[in-house]
Amino acid sequence: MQDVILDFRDVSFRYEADEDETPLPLCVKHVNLQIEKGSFTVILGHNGSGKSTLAKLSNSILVPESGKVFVNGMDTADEDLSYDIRRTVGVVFQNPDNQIVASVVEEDVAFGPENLGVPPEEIRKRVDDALKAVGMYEYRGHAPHKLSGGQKQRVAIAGMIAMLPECLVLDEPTAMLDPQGRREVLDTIRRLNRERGITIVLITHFMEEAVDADRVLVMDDGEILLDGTPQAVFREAQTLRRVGLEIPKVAQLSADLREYGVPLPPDILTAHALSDAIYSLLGERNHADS
Amino acid sequence: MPILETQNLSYVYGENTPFRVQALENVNLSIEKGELVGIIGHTGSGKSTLMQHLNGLVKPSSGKVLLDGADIHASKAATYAARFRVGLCFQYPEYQLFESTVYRDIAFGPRNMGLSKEQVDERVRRAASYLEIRDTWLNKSPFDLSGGEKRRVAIAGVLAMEPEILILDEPTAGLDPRGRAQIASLIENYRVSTGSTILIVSHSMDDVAETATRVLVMDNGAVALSGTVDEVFRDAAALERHGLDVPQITRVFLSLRARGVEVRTDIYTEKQARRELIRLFKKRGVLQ
Repeated sequence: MQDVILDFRDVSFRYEADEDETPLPLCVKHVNLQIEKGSFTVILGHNGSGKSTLAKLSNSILVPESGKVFVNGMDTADEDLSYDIRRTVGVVFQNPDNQIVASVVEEDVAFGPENLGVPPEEIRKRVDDALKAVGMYEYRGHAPHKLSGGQKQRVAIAGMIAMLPECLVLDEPTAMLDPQGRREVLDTIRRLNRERGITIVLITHFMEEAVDADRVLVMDDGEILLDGTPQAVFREAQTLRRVGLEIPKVAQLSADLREYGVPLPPDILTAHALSDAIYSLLGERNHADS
Repeated sequence: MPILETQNLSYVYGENTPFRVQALENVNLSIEKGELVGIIGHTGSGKSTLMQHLNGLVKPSSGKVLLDGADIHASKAATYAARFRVGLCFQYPEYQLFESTVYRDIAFGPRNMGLSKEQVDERVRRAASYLEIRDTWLNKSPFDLSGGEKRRVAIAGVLAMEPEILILDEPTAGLDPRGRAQIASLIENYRVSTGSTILIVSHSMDDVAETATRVLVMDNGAVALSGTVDEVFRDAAALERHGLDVPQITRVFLSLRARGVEVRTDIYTEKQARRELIRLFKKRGVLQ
């Protein structure tokens, strides 16, 4: 199991009810999940499907009621290991304003490594490197509250990068951002995966963010309902709709056209791919005519 | 006469400081009764500042806001009246829920309007029904509801004041696809059954494409584009220039056109796309 970084084994979890109230139902139910090192996984699910809880279980913010979560083989229920676990898996949340603690960008990024007891010269290096990795180096002296949402979220990601995690779990990091901020953050995440081999688990509501992942999981009612490539998952339009999700509009359009008799290849998910496919159909036709 | 109008509306943050920002510059808009206007723009384009002017929450640096032709800053009484006639619902309004029960939270606005207990009750129930808030929730704590449910309660709190003009800032942000569709259709039903005027502020084109009668694009504190959904969405290049996203569907057609294929590019919904592509395939003999 050398190449599995996150290993969920029959994991169940429920939040605690207030005193003298009936216990709350399980919100994660017997989940088995292995995330491979260096992979890019997207988790989709409607509000309340259990996907955020899964994020918190991944670095011992929460521990399972039953079952085990292992991070590089370390049991998240073992409190002695929580330091090493959180150094390995960093979690980024939805609202950047809740994650920024300092009044200068570079101090905010230094907060994590300082707490890990990293020597000062090494911190300097890591902070500069992390800010460069997210494209925010030139803002190192700025006040975080004056940055845009997308910039703040990238600072929050830099704060994680500075702890040199092997894996980043991002819980709807783009939900509060405008289209440009969203693009900035997604480009950053993809680059960290591609260039630094950081394992990414991206939790999102936006179907478009899933189209170029290695693997897509769909959660519903605390369980993993679908698990496969983006192509395989987005073939299940009916199942997705039943659980309050949809397929990307371009994928829906392509599927409709195929049903109408247009000989398009299956599993088209992006505008670029559809344009290519249509162009080549028309091209073949031109050849046939001439 | 338009129900809501702005004349050369300008606003400056931090005048006489090094941080002076011209947030709005000579904005002229005119909104007719019963319209559903989408106001879109990237973060920092001035759309939220504009919205805060429309019920007198912020006073213009220069220019006017007119309600039924009358300046809302003409007198204290006029500004006070504008607060009730124009209802503002901020981003993530569920963060503003505070009462012990859903009922009391929705009732907070109408109670402050000095209405009788019966009138307040009537309004709470009416607002709740527009947002499909079940009777059984009314006695629950708002904090026991899900995110999408809380959002509906918060919007009901504004509706209960029965404003003639309702302004919603990013009403569907952070919700899943089903939640987004639900809020959008509840708002549209409310408009149709009450004849209210509605402004939706958003950075998502998709939020306004289906229902808006008119779209304004804000950029740099000014109205950059204005027109019907068709007119505004037709010009993808202009939208990108103003920092907005072009719908994925539209991208397909822009890309085909760039390769020399004769297709329309004013396509932004799946239905239009299907029609246009089938026309193209028939013309080119791919389909019979």
